[in-house]
Amino acid sequence: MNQILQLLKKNLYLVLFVLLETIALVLFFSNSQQPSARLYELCTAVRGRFLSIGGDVRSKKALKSEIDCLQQENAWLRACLETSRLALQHDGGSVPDSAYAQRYDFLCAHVVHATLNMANNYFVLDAGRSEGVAEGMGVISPCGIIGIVDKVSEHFCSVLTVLHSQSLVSVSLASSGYTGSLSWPGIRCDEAELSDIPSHIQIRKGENVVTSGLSAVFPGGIPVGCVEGVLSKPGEDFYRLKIKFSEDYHRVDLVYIVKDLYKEEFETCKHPSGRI
Amino acid sequence: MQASLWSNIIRFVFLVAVQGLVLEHIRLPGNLHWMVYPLFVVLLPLQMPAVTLLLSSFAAGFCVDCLCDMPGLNAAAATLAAFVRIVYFRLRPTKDVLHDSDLAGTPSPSSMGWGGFLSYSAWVVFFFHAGYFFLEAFSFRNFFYTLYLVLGSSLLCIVSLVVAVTFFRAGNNKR
Repeated sequence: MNQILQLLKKNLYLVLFVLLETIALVLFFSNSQQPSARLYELCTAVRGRFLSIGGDVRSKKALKSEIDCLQQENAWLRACLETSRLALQHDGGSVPDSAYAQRYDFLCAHVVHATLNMANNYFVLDAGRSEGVAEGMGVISPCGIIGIVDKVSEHFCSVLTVLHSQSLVSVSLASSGYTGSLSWPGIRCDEAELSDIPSHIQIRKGENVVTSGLSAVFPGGIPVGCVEGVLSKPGEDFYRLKIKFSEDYHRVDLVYIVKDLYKEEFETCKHPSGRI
Repeated sequence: MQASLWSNIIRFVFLVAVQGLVLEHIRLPGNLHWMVYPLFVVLLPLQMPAVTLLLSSFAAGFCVDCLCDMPGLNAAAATLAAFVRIVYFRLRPTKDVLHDSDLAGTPSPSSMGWGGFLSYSAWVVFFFHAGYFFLEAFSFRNFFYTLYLVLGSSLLCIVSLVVAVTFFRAGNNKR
């Protein structure tokens, strides 16, 4: 017994090392679990205060290009308002104007913090629970999609961006309507990979890729990027395409959080095994 | 001892704050990360007990984690760095590396010679970055890219270390 104690005392640093590493790794991997949410919330609140100061300065500087961006944004909104709506009648024939109900609502927010050089990138936005943000909402920007809301504190939320190894978004080719899933292979933050497109169709370089609208996260028809090349070899059943994002993630500031007003109803009808 | 304690506390606060509040927001070309707080682990006093060393490194990493919202990542990497430091000095008996009179101070080129100091800090810094990037990626999918990040960022960190050490030695033999 004494010897064991002696040995333990001699190698105390080893035991402590293992202990501390375990604590750190548990913290790291339970990042998305509930217990660390409180700690996370506290940290986000403190950080948010600091970061929104820096964000304010940057916002002012970028005001001019912001106005241009907003005009484009408005034009786009006018053009595709119908995608944000839900048809109430499918009878055909004459459809009165009031036959649409609002399906998606958009909340404005600013990016206060962004990581782009990690293997898993997150954005922090200055909208939180008090503005009605909830986990699982989609986030889009004037020129593309950003990701899905991951964690929410009172005034801030973090977004699991499309530049994340776990990110999977349902998108479709604008011209043919074929649907596939968009993932991020890592390294470059302007490129993504689109898979599950059947290989019998013709792919043109530069073809637009938009969100499919098959999930309750993003409305359909939101631009994502364009096809830059084919990664899969000839003869494979499905294409793997290289996509260039239409949004430059280095200069994203103004974003919209998408709120699906029919989410609960949609979820109840969805098959339990269905993924977004 | 007292002066050494205070200089280490000041170094802790300064490096953690610079890392968490400033450097985290600087994007370098080539996706490199500029880490300065491993300098705290490298420059802790030589006679410091292993247990204290591990605990203070963990604390430094944990504080940076809180500022960068990546719970556990920096803490794990910093603890690994402290462990490598302990193992390094166990494998290389202190006599070879140091003159006896300098045992009390922080590791420095003047006590270990530039060669010894650089090889020591290179090991610590390399393992810190290896732990950090491989844990962060948590896959070997882009192995060589991650390795490039590790080596590039380690080099950047060592350059910062050399600059800091030269600068503060030139002023006074404190820090």
